[in-house]
Amino acid sequence: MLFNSLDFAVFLPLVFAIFWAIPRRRTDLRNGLLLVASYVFYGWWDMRFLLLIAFSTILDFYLSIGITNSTDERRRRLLLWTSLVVNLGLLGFFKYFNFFLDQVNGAFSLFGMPLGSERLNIILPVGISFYTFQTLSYTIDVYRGDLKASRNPVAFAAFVSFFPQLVAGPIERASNLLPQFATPRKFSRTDAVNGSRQMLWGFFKKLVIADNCAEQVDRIFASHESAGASTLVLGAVFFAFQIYGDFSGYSDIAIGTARLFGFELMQNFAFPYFSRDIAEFWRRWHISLSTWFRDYLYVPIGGSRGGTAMRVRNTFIIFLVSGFWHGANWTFVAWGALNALYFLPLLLAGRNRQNLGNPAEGRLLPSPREAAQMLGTFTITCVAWVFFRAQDMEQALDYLGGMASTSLMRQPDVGNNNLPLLVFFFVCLEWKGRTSEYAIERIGMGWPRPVRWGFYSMLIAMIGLFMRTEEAPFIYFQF
Amino acid sequence: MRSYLTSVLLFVLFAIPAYVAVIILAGTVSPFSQHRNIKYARGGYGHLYNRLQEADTTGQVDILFLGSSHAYRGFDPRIFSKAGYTSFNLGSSSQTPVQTKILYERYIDRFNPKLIVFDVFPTTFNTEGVESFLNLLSNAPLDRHLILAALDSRHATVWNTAIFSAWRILTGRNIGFTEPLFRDTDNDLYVPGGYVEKSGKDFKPTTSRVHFKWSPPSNQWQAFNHILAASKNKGIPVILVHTPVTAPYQYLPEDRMALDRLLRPLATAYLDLSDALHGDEAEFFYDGHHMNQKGVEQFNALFLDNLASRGLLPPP
Repeated sequence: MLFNSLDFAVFLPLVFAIFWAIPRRRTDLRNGLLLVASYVFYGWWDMRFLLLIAFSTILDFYLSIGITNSTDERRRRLLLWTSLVVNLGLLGFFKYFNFFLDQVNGAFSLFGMPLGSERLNIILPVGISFYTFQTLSYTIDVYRGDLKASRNPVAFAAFVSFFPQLVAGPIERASNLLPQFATPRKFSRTDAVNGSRQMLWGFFKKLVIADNCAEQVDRIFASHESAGASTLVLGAVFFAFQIYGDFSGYSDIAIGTARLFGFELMQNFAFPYFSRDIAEFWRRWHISLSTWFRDYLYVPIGGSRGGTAMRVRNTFIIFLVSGFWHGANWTFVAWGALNALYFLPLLLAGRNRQNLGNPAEGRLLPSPREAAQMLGTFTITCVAWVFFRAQDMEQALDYLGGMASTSLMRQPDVGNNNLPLLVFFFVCLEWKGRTSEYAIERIGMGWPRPVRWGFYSMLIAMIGLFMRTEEAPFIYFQF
Repeated sequence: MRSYLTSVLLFVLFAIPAYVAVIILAGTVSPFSQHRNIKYARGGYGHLYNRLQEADTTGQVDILFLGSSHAYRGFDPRIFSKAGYTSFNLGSSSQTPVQTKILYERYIDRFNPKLIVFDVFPTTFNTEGVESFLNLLSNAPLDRHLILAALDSRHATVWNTAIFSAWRILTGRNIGFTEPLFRDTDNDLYVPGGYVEKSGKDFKPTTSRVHFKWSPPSNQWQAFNHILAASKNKGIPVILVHTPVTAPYQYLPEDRMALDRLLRPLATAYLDLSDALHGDEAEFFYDGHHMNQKGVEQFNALFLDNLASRGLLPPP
């Protein structure tokens, strides 16, 4: 079920009403309701997906109990590896099987020995990368002793499948989310209002910014061979806003929806396009995935400890794996590698943690130096996004080659004259709210209520005026 | 919880008029091309405004034509008049059964026809009818049938245009509007009786074949059946017609047979005349599926002969 669908507009109030109608002490019933609702939400795409998530849930539930119960280190390690192999095996099969098959076929063909293996007709279950990583972190935390295994199958299953963040994150840590299923949720008007506001902002980002950018991005990328350099640059910039609006919009709707039920999810985006260097960008972009890789991959393989060679290796590993996590295509690997190249100089110079605060802290506008830093970071990010968006490496390189041509100074083909204005309006609001968790969290808090509500109504009207009228799925569902 | 729900309710009560105000403001101060979800075009393509103005002052007719542009560009009342029949054409651009039903409910008692000729172009059955809704909202009076159907469309552009249209009507902004009978941009001449004449020719047919797809949304099928049932109750025979198209728009024989099997039992007759003008398409069509005036004259004579030979024509 898509957040931006009429189905969800009926589903959410219904589940909300039933959830809070259940007496507060009956946490078990509430968890049961959330579990059923989450399975309905997920099964709306394809009922077969439920088998997979149910299998992962049952497996990790019992393996984790086994890990907690056992004092034999070999057995504990065996159980952990079983979880890792099965979960990553499923992910690998559904997401990467055909990709690897193509690579093997291609390699043999190079030597004149085509295997002729046919691709399997595999349907990628929506959100498999997200819930797989969420359950993996749980099992690893239990193994490490950071968390005790859950003995409540309903609460655990509800944690794995919690519908607001099931298909596109944030990828929650069990240590944050699972205990919330064990304690009675108390309705908070403040949280509910805050959640509603965050959902509104998420819908605005998705329906007004991302979907309108998507239309132009699709057009420009489809005709990139004949487009001028300035139009190609514009296409890359629009894609930067498309993917940010799409993904962070989803996160805002997810976090806001969870708040309606009294759950707190982690912040997933922190105004990444105001980053002053690429290290700061990666602290602000898809935070739940970046920290996942940091805690479960980067640190275990040595992190920033050791010599220069070790740090270079580890940096490349984490960025390449991160790229590959997004999809089975060399373009994602190239996107990860490019980001590693951006990041390495900062790491090696020990300057990767120099911008930890907010940009232009306490000021209305950034200093010229900050503005230049933000513009530079945004520019190199846009270059990397070309790889992320391109169908294949050939298109990415063609596109980048086109961007570097002499027609850069010509007027670009905007396609939709509203779009630059909408993006400008969006950036202004994001800048204004950059110290909050999401842009409009505190905007208008000091205004009289009619003015504040007028502002929210205007956002709703902008959605009504500028949304695309066909349902457009979120980009990150494919990951 | 009560406080939150009260706030939500109050906000909704606040947001609805605020939304309406923004839509009106946006529609008034900037060109419609600037926002994607208001499409108001009074006196736009297809002469619907002229047609409905005339319909409101027309009395009983012998034959009523319903359907899409293939109806209002395909049946010339002057030709039927020469054959002794009064007629009116209620077709409009991309009209789907949902909009046909709205016009039918509004005008059927006024026209009280002896025969209904209903153009069935399968493509119009397969759409949501947004384009036709926008045409009606811009050019037709807002009555209960239109408002309810627009609400049921679940389409932001339709809703916004309905709001803007209602505001224009309520504030008298449409008073005094006249639509010219000839649009030189389209070379379209409005002919009394709801018909639009186009004299263009030298059309160059394409070779790419259009594939048949019959998958109407349930509301279109319901509206279609409602019109047929209501007509049956009133004792008005209904002839379903597939008007002529060029060869690339011609369905495969098996698809035509399937359509025939589907439609024939539903009405008095189903006439598939989609291939009636094959052979000299550049002479008879101005695009792949619309006839020019010469094609209409040829087709209407053929159609009248066909009805006469089957005994389907009412007494003049």
